[in-house]
Amino acid sequence: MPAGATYEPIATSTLGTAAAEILFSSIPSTYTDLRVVWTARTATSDFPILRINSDTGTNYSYTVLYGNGTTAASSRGNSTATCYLGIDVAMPTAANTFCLVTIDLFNYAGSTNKTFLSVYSNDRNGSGEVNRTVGLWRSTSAINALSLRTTGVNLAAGSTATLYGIKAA
Amino acid sequence: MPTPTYVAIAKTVLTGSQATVTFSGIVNTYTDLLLVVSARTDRASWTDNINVQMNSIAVGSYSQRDVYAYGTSPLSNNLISSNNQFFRFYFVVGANATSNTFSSQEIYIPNYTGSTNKVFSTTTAGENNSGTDFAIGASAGLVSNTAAMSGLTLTPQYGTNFVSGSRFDLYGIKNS
Repeated sequence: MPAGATYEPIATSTLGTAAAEILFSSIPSTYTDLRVVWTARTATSDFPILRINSDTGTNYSYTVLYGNGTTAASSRGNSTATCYLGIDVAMPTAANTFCLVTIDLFNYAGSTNKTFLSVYSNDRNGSGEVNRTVGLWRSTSAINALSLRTTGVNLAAGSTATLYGIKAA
Repeated sequence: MPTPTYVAIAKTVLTGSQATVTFSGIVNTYTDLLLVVSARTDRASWTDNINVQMNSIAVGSYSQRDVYAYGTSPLSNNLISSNNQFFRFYFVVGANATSNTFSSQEIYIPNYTGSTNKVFSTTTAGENNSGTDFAIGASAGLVSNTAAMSGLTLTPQYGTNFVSGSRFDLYGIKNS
Protein backbone atom coordinates (compact mmCIF):
# COMPACT_ATOMS: atom_id res chain seq x y z
CA MET A 1 0.00 0.00 0.00
CA PRO A 2 1.50 3.37 -0.91
CA ALA A 3 1.82 5.36 2.27
CA GLY A 4 0.11 8.61 2.95
CA ALA A 5 -1.86 9.18 -0.20
CA THR A 6 -3.98 6.11 0.46
CA TYR A 7 -4.55 6.16 4.20
CA GLU A 8 -4.66 9.60 5.77
CA PRO A 9 -5.57 10.93 9.19
CA ILE A 10 -8.40 13.45 8.89
CA ALA A 11 -8.82 14.42 12.54
CA THR A 12 -8.01 13.30 16.07
CA SER A 13 -9.78 14.20 19.28
CA THR A 14 -8.75 13.45 22.86
CA LEU A 15 -11.08 14.47 25.66
CA GLY A 16 -9.43 16.64 28.30
CA THR A 17 -12.53 16.43 30.42
CA ALA A 18 -15.54 14.16 30.37
CA ALA A 19 -17.92 14.85 27.51
CA ALA A 20 -21.01 13.36 25.94
CA GLU A 21 -19.39 12.62 22.61
CA ILE A 22 -16.44 12.77 20.33
CA LEU A 23 -17.71 14.45 17.21
CA PHE A 24 -16.16 14.52 13.77
CA SER A 25 -17.98 17.06 11.63
CA SER A 26 -17.49 18.55 8.18
CA ILE A 27 -15.94 15.31 7.00
CA PRO A 28 -14.67 15.87 3.46
CA SER A 29 -16.10 13.70 0.71
CA THR A 30 -12.77 13.18 -1.01
CA TYR A 31 -12.06 9.66 0.24
CA THR A 32 -13.55 6.31 -0.65
CA ASP A 33 -13.95 4.85 2.83
CA LEU A 34 -13.58 5.99 6.41
CA ARG A 35 -12.00 4.29 9.37
CA VAL A 36 -12.42 5.26 13.02
CA VAL A 37 -10.11 4.08 15.79
CA TRP A 38 -11.62 4.90 19.18
CA THR A 39 -10.36 4.09 22.67
CA ALA A 40 -12.75 4.96 25.46
CA ARG A 41 -13.85 4.52 29.01
CA THR A 42 -16.74 5.89 31.04
CA ALA A 43 -17.26 6.85 34.69
CA THR A 44 -20.33 4.63 34.97
CA SER A 45 -21.31 1.65 32.91
CA ASP A 46 -22.70 2.24 29.46
CA PHE A 47 -22.42 1.00 25.90
CA PRO A 48 -20.77 2.59 22.86
CA ILE A 49 -23.02 3.76 20.06
CA LEU A 50 -22.57 5.50 16.71
CA ARG A 51 -24.66 8.40 15.45
CA ILE A 52 -24.31 9.53 11.84
CA ASN A 53 -25.07 13.04 10.58
CA SER A 54 -26.87 13.82 13.87
CA ASP A 55 -29.64 11.45 12.82
CA THR A 56 -31.68 10.36 15.86
CA GLY A 57 -34.40 8.73 13.77
CA THR A 58 -35.09 5.04 13.56
CA ASN A 59 -32.84 4.63 10.56
CA TYR A 60 -30.24 2.24 11.91
CA SER A 61 -29.99 -1.53 11.99
CA TYR A 62 -27.25 -3.84 13.13
CA THR A 63 -26.36 -7.49 13.55
CA VAL A 64 -23.75 -8.45 16.10
CA LEU A 65 -21.77 -11.57 16.97
CA TYR A 66 -20.38 -11.40 20.48
CA GLY A 67 -18.75 -13.39 23.25
CA ASN A 68 -18.38 -12.46 26.91
CA GLY A 69 -16.01 -15.24 27.84
CA THR A 70 -18.62 -17.84 28.64
CA THR A 71 -21.45 -17.25 26.18
CA ALA A 72 -21.30 -16.64 22.46
CA ALA A 73 -24.40 -15.26 20.83
CA SER A 74 -25.76 -13.12 18.07
CA SER A 75 -28.27 -10.34 18.28
CA ARG A 76 -29.72 -7.66 16.08
CA GLY A 77 -31.76 -4.53 16.04
CA ASN A 78 -33.69 -3.02 13.16
CA SER A 79 -35.32 0.33 12.60
CA THR A 80 -33.68 1.56 15.75
CA ALA A 81 -32.51 5.00 16.72
CA THR A 82 -29.61 3.58 18.70
CA CYS A 83 -26.88 1.86 16.77
CA TYR A 84 -25.01 -0.18 19.36
CA LEU A 85 -21.35 -1.01 18.80
CA GLY A 86 -21.27 -3.19 21.95
CA ILE A 87 -24.26 -4.78 23.56
CA ASP A 88 -23.42 -7.19 26.35
CA VAL A 89 -20.70 -5.87 28.65
CA ALA A 90 -20.38 -2.15 29.27
CA MET A 91 -17.32 -0.04 28.59
CA PRO A 92 -14.54 -0.06 31.20
CA THR A 93 -14.74 2.30 34.14
CA ALA A 94 -11.41 1.51 35.79
CA ALA A 95 -8.60 4.01 35.55
CA ASN A 96 -5.99 3.29 32.90
CA THR A 97 -8.19 0.80 31.11
CA PHE A 98 -9.89 1.62 27.84
CA CYS A 99 -11.86 -0.38 25.32
CA LEU A 100 -11.02 -0.35 21.63
CA VAL A 101 -13.64 0.29 18.96
CA THR A 102 -12.80 0.39 15.28
CA ILE A 103 -15.36 1.23 12.63
CA ASP A 104 -14.95 0.88 8.88
CA LEU A 105 -17.51 2.82 6.84
CA PHE A 106 -17.70 2.00 3.18
CA ASN A 107 -18.52 4.32 0.27
CA TYR A 108 -19.51 6.93 2.83
CA ALA A 109 -19.96 9.70 0.27
CA GLY A 110 -22.00 7.61 -2.16
CA SER A 111 -25.71 7.79 -2.89
CA THR A 112 -26.65 4.40 -1.49
CA ASN A 113 -27.48 3.39 2.07
CA LYS A 114 -24.38 3.24 4.25
CA THR A 115 -22.91 0.06 5.67
CA PHE A 116 -20.18 -0.33 8.23
CA LEU A 117 -18.26 -2.95 10.17
CA SER A 118 -17.33 -2.49 13.80
CA VAL A 119 -14.93 -4.22 16.18
CA TYR A 120 -15.47 -3.83 19.92
CA SER A 121 -12.70 -5.14 22.18
CA ASN A 122 -13.34 -4.78 25.88
CA ASP A 123 -11.40 -7.11 28.16
CA ARG A 124 -11.27 -6.15 31.83
CA ASN A 125 -9.38 -9.11 33.27
CA GLY A 126 -12.34 -11.02 34.61
CA SER A 127 -15.16 -9.63 32.54
CA GLY A 128 -15.59 -8.12 29.13
CA GLU A 129 -16.76 -8.64 25.63
CA VAL A 130 -15.49 -9.12 22.12
CA ASN A 131 -17.76 -8.49 19.19
CA ARG A 132 -18.09 -7.87 15.52
CA THR A 133 -20.99 -5.79 14.24
CA VAL A 134 -22.32 -5.05 10.81
CA GLY A 135 -24.41 -1.92 10.69
CA LEU A 136 -26.65 -0.15 8.21
CA TRP A 137 -27.70 3.48 8.14
CA ARG A 138 -30.65 3.77 5.82
CA SER A 139 -29.83 7.06 4.22
CA THR A 140 -28.52 7.90 0.80
CA SER A 141 -26.97 11.12 2.07
CA ALA A 142 -23.21 11.42 2.19
CA ILE A 143 -21.81 10.98 5.67
CA ASN A 144 -20.41 14.26 6.90
CA ALA A 145 -20.51 13.81 10.67
CA LEU A 146 -19.87 10.97 13.09
CA SER A 147 -20.69 11.09 16.77
CA LEU A 148 -19.05 8.54 19.05
CA ARG A 149 -20.99 8.36 22.29
CA THR A 150 -22.82 6.17 24.76
CA THR A 151 -26.50 5.69 25.35
CA GLY A 152 -26.48 8.21 28.18
CA VAL A 153 -23.32 8.85 30.16
CA ASN A 154 -20.25 10.88 29.41
CA LEU A 155 -17.07 9.55 27.91
CA ALA A 156 -14.25 9.90 30.42
CA ALA A 157 -11.26 12.17 30.01
CA GLY A 158 -8.55 10.50 28.00
CA SER A 159 -10.96 8.91 25.55
CA THR A 160 -9.47 9.35 22.10
CA ALA A 161 -10.62 8.88 18.54
CA THR A 162 -8.97 9.28 15.17
CA LEU A 163 -10.75 9.47 11.85
CA TYR A 164 -8.85 8.20 8.82
CA GLY A 165 -9.74 8.55 5.17
CA ILE A 166 -8.92 5.75 2.77
CA LYS A 167 -8.66 6.33 -0.97
CA ALA A 168 -9.15 3.71 -3.58
CA ALA A 169 -6.98 3.77 -6.66
CA MET B 1 3.80 14.31 -0.45
CA PRO B 2 1.60 13.64 2.58
CA THR B 3 3.18 12.42 5.75
CA PRO B 4 3.19 8.62 5.66
CA THR B 5 0.44 7.35 7.93
CA TYR B 6 0.49 3.60 7.43
CA VAL B 7 4.09 2.45 7.41
CA ALA B 8 5.72 -0.95 7.24
CA ILE B 9 8.10 -1.07 10.22
CA ALA B 10 9.47 -4.58 9.99
CA LYS B 11 8.85 -7.95 8.47
CA THR B 12 10.00 -11.48 9.09
CA VAL B 13 9.60 -14.10 6.39
CA LEU B 14 10.94 -17.48 7.41
CA THR B 15 13.11 -19.45 5.01
CA GLY B 16 13.49 -22.28 7.52
CA SER B 17 12.01 -23.39 10.81
CA GLN B 18 12.27 -20.98 13.69
CA ALA B 19 11.10 -21.31 17.28
CA THR B 20 10.51 -17.66 18.05
CA VAL B 21 9.80 -14.51 16.09
CA THR B 22 10.71 -11.29 17.86
CA PHE B 23 10.13 -7.65 17.03
CA SER B 24 12.33 -5.66 19.37
CA GLY B 25 13.19 -2.00 19.61
CA ILE B 26 9.87 -0.97 18.14
CA VAL B 27 10.08 2.77 17.61
CA ASN B 28 7.72 4.99 19.57
CA THR B 29 6.91 7.37 16.74
CA TYR B 30 3.58 5.89 15.77
CA THR B 31 0.15 5.99 17.41
CA ASP B 32 -0.99 2.42 16.83
CA LEU B 33 0.51 -0.87 15.68
CA LEU B 34 -0.87 -3.55 13.38
CA LEU B 35 0.72 -6.99 13.20
CA VAL B 36 -0.33 -9.22 10.32
CA VAL B 37 0.56 -12.89 10.53
CA SER B 38 0.34 -15.67 7.96
CA ALA B 39 1.94 -18.65 9.64
CA ARG B 40 2.13 -22.39 10.11
CA THR B 41 3.76 -24.47 12.85
CA ASP B 42 5.21 -27.97 13.02
CA ARG B 43 2.66 -29.26 15.52
CA ALA B 44 1.29 -32.64 14.43
CA SER B 45 -2.25 -31.35 14.21
CA TRP B 46 -4.18 -29.21 11.79
CA THR B 47 -4.06 -26.29 14.20
CA ASP B 48 -1.93 -24.60 16.84
CA ASN B 49 -1.97 -21.33 18.73
CA ILE B 50 0.59 -18.56 19.12
CA ASN B 51 1.67 -17.17 22.46
CA VAL B 52 2.35 -13.44 22.27
CA GLN B 53 4.53 -11.74 24.87
CA MET B 54 4.80 -7.96 25.06
CA ASN B 55 8.17 -6.50 26.06
CA SER B 56 9.46 -8.84 28.77
CA ILE B 57 6.20 -8.76 30.67
CA ALA B 58 5.79 -12.11 32.39
CA VAL B 59 2.67 -14.20 32.60
CA GLY B 60 0.16 -12.86 35.08
CA SER B 61 -0.62 -9.63 33.27
CA TYR B 62 -2.49 -10.95 30.21
CA SER B 63 -6.22 -11.49 29.83
CA GLN B 64 -8.59 -11.89 26.90
CA ARG B 65 -12.14 -12.65 25.73
CA ASP B 66 -12.64 -14.79 22.66
CA VAL B 67 -15.48 -15.65 20.34
CA TYR B 68 -14.91 -18.30 17.71
CA ALA B 69 -16.63 -20.83 15.50
CA TYR B 70 -15.84 -24.08 13.72
CA GLY B 71 -18.79 -23.99 11.36
CA THR B 72 -21.39 -24.67 14.02
CA SER B 73 -22.77 -22.49 16.80
CA PRO B 74 -20.22 -19.95 18.02
CA LEU B 75 -18.44 -20.39 21.32
CA SER B 76 -16.80 -18.03 23.77
CA ASN B 77 -13.83 -18.43 26.01
CA ASN B 78 -11.88 -16.26 28.41
CA LEU B 79 -8.43 -16.21 29.88
CA ILE B 80 -7.68 -14.12 32.94
CA SER B 81 -4.35 -13.02 34.34
CA SER B 82 -4.39 -15.65 37.07
CA ASN B 83 -4.24 -18.29 34.34
CA ASN B 84 -0.57 -17.30 34.14
CA GLN B 85 -0.12 -17.31 30.43
CA PHE B 86 0.70 -14.98 27.62
CA PHE B 87 -1.80 -13.56 25.21
CA ARG B 88 -2.96 -16.33 22.90
CA PHE B 89 -3.44 -15.92 19.18
CA TYR B 90 -5.68 -18.79 18.04
CA PHE B 91 -5.86 -20.90 14.91
CA VAL B 92 -2.49 -20.79 13.29
CA VAL B 93 -2.42 -23.92 11.13
CA GLY B 94 -0.29 -26.93 12.03
CA ALA B 95 1.62 -29.63 10.21
CA ASN B 96 -1.44 -31.72 9.36
CA ALA B 97 -3.16 -28.90 7.52
CA THR B 98 -3.30 -28.93 3.75
CA SER B 99 0.17 -28.29 2.43
CA ASN B 100 1.02 -24.76 1.35
CA THR B 101 -1.71 -23.42 3.63
CA PHE B 102 -1.06 -20.70 6.19
CA SER B 103 -3.22 -18.87 8.70
CA SER B 104 -4.65 -15.35 8.40
CA GLN B 105 -4.32 -13.29 11.54
CA GLU B 106 -4.00 -9.72 12.66
CA ILE B 107 -3.67 -7.87 15.93
CA TYR B 108 -4.35 -4.14 16.36
CA ILE B 109 -2.77 -2.32 19.30
CA PRO B 110 -3.80 1.31 19.84
CA ASN B 111 -1.77 3.81 21.86
CA TYR B 112 1.07 1.34 22.31
CA THR B 113 3.41 3.95 23.77
CA GLY B 114 0.86 5.41 26.18
CA SER B 115 0.89 5.15 29.95
CA THR B 116 -2.35 3.22 30.26
CA ASN B 117 -2.93 -0.51 30.21
CA LYS B 118 -2.63 -1.92 26.71
CA VAL B 119 -5.77 -3.05 24.92
CA PHE B 120 -5.88 -4.81 21.59
CA SER B 121 -8.11 -6.71 19.19
CA THR B 122 -7.40 -9.70 17.05
CA THR B 123 -9.05 -11.48 14.17
CA THR B 124 -7.81 -14.91 13.25
CA ALA B 125 -8.71 -17.66 10.84
CA GLY B 126 -7.47 -21.06 9.78
CA GLU B 127 -9.14 -22.32 6.63
CA ASN B 128 -8.01 -25.68 5.39
CA ASN B 129 -10.41 -26.86 2.67
CA SER B 130 -11.57 -29.55 5.02
CA GLY B 131 -14.97 -30.67 6.22
CA THR B 132 -13.83 -30.64 9.83
CA ASP B 133 -10.73 -28.55 10.24
CA PHE B 134 -11.34 -24.84 10.00
CA ALA B 135 -11.99 -22.01 12.41
CA ILE B 136 -12.50 -18.29 12.73
CA GLY B 137 -12.17 -16.24 15.86
CA ALA B 138 -11.87 -12.80 17.39
CA SER B 139 -10.38 -11.68 20.66
CA ALA B 140 -10.35 -8.67 22.94
CA GLY B 141 -7.14 -8.50 24.91
CA LEU B 142 -5.71 -6.57 27.81
CA VAL B 143 -2.19 -6.32 29.17
CA SER B 144 -2.46 -4.89 32.67
CA ASN B 145 0.78 -3.00 32.39
CA THR B 146 1.28 0.70 31.73
CA ALA B 147 4.76 0.51 30.24
CA ALA B 148 5.25 1.60 26.66
CA MET B 149 5.33 -1.35 24.34
CA SER B 150 8.60 -1.81 22.51
CA GLY B 151 8.74 -5.52 21.78
CA LEU B 152 6.63 -8.47 20.68
CA THR B 153 7.69 -12.11 20.91
CA LEU B 154 5.71 -14.87 19.24
CA THR B 155 6.10 -18.58 19.88
CA PRO B 156 3.95 -21.60 18.98
CA GLN B 157 1.92 -22.80 21.95
CA TYR B 158 2.24 -26.51 21.14
CA GLY B 159 4.58 -26.86 18.21
CA THR B 160 8.30 -26.36 18.42
CA ASN B 161 8.75 -24.09 15.42
CA PHE B 162 7.13 -21.85 12.90
CA VAL B 163 7.88 -23.34 9.51
CA SER B 164 9.32 -21.93 6.32
CA GLY B 165 7.02 -19.53 4.52
CA SER B 166 5.53 -18.11 7.72
CA ARG B 167 5.31 -14.35 7.49
CA PHE B 168 5.01 -11.64 10.12
CA ASP B 169 4.52 -7.99 9.12
CA LEU B 170 4.47 -5.11 11.58
CA TYR B 171 2.96 -1.76 10.59
CA GLY B 172 2.92 1.58 12.37
CA ILE B 173 -0.05 3.92 12.03
CA LYS B 174 0.16 7.65 12.75
CA ASN B 175 -2.83 9.78 13.62
CA SER B 176 -1.28 13.03 12.44
